[in-house]
Amino acid sequence: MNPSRLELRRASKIYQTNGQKLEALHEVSLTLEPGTITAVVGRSGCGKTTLLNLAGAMDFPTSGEVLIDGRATSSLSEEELTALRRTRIGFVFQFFQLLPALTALENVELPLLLARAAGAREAARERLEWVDLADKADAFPYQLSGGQMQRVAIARALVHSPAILIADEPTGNLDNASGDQVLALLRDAAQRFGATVLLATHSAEAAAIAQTSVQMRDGRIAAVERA
Amino acid sequence: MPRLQLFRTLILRPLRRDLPRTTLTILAVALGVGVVIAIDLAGDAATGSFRSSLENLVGKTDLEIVANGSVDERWMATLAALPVNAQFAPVIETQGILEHVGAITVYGVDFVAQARRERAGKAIPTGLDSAIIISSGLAKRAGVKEGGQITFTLQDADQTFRAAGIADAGDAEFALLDIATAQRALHEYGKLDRIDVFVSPNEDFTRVEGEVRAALPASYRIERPGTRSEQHQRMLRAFRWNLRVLSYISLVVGAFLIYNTISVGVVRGRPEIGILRALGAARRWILWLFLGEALLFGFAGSLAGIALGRLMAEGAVGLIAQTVNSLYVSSRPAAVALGVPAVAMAIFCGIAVALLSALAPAREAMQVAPVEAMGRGAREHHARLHVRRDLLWAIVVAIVAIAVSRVRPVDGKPIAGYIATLLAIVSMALAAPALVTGLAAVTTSCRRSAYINSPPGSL
Repeated sequence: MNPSRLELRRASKIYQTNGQKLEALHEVSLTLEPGTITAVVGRSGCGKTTLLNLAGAMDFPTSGEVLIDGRATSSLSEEELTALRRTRIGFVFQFFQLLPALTALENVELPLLLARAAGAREAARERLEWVDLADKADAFPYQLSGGQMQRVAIARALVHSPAILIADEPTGNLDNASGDQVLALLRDAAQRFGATVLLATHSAEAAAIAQTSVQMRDGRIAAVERA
Repeated sequence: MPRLQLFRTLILRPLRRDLPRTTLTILAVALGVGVVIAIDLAGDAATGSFRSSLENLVGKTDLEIVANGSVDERWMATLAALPVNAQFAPVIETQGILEHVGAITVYGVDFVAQARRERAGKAIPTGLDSAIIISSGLAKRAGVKEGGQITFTLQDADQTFRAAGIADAGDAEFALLDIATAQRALHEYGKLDRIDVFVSPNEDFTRVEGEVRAALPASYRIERPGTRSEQHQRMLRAFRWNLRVLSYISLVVGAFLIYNTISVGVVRGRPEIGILRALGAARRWILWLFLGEALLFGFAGSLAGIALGRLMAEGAVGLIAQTVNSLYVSSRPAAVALGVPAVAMAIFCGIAVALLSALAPAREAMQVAPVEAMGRGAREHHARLHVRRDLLWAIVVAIVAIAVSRVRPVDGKPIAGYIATLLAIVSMALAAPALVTGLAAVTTSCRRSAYINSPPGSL
């Protein structure tokens, strides 16, 4: 995996709802160095998820640019964007978003199967062992606790060794113990796998693992703190 | 292989888990394909052995004199007086219903002349007003022996005849009455359906044709043998074409259910599709995933439909044969035979219908954006029901259907009629949400009104 540099340059996002414009993000500029963890904190509706969507190449800014390894996401074709998400980016969602029809192992294996990578099963088992859930490989999501589901989601997000890891409220639905486990894994992801981690959170504990903490308010960056 | 593994886990496994819905969808396709196959096989069997029964018995005629309505029998005397070496045989052809057997072709022929010409040496049946000659095939099926009684329903009235003879005519099933008896039985005095002309081999055929033409009114037609047969074949082809096209409508049921199954899958599965997209699944791959599901429904439904169609054909063949006998021409049903073309057509129909009906929801699935994976919890996608827009389209399609239905047939085929039928179905499908919404509004309003007007404490 080659570490990636992620940069937002005066990125704004405006949504049109019932003829009305809603500015979810206003000229946000941010640079994430490879292998670092950046936490975006702020109240609900302040634009955290929108920022993550743009950073994860799942959406485009209305104005400004999002650059991944120097290339603007808005300049990429649909195929290139899909390939980018498949190979360079990993996602961890607040509600785990595991596919209910797949076992834990199959969920972890999914990105590699989509990329037609060889040795998918073995790699998936390794990641499950890393999150300490090797014994739950054949369990379906409904048979796992919230903490276990999130650990499976982290294993899935990192199975293809992405350069960028986007995590949206990864501890938002977890008890303290499970939340701590997940944060430890995210820290390990940056240190061990060299991933550039961008996480949105309400939690001070979650923000504490980050080298950079970005405070957001009304779609704007209110403050940036570096540890 | 990874893609197959994904297809197995993402599509096959949920289908297996939701067996009732899966089974219902496959059955719907099977029913549609089954009806198409049944109609096709039964049509083949019912008309496969079509031939003129009388031709088998009395030999091939050289000319046939026919007219719109009927031929006046008084022209027989004129024809008999012509200076040509030919014989003229009056014929009446009708359908009689024989209990437990069905429709049977009954011919009225001149027994005396017939016996003199073709059956020399055989005795002319006595008591001609009640005598009937039946073919050996019919005698066998109806269980009637020579000298026995047989009752036909002719012109809505039961009429009993004495089986004066059994004619050896292979498998053909028909009955012969003397021409006068037939006229009396049908209350068609002095009228004939046609006059068959047998020209001597020594006679100049063209001269006979010219003499006959000159002797008869211009409104009478003189046709070569086979002309009627060709007409019958053409009518049968049109009949079968109609049946076949209308049987395709049964496929619409399967199409609706597949559309429904895939649509529900897409609506319910939007977050999962969003996850797949976020993880790097290409739009085209999502499209193929759902089309693959439809392909599976189509293939499984086709296989089941072939078996179902083969069974249904056994029941349908009798009904179609009866219709063909009653409306068109004498025929005897052959055995139902399921061949490779029918199997190929069934699989093609099933798969084509499945893929076409899944195309719209599959395209909707491929449009799901990766950001939908970021959805919060159990947030559901609300399918936007463009009720008013769809109702407007329903009206437009209905108007087009009416306009199309007025277009004349192409090469004798009511192509526009079929398109109009299909458009009418599409129109109703488009109007259905508005009708259901309207009905729901009315019932809600009635319930609310009943609640407001009800006295306190009452239910």
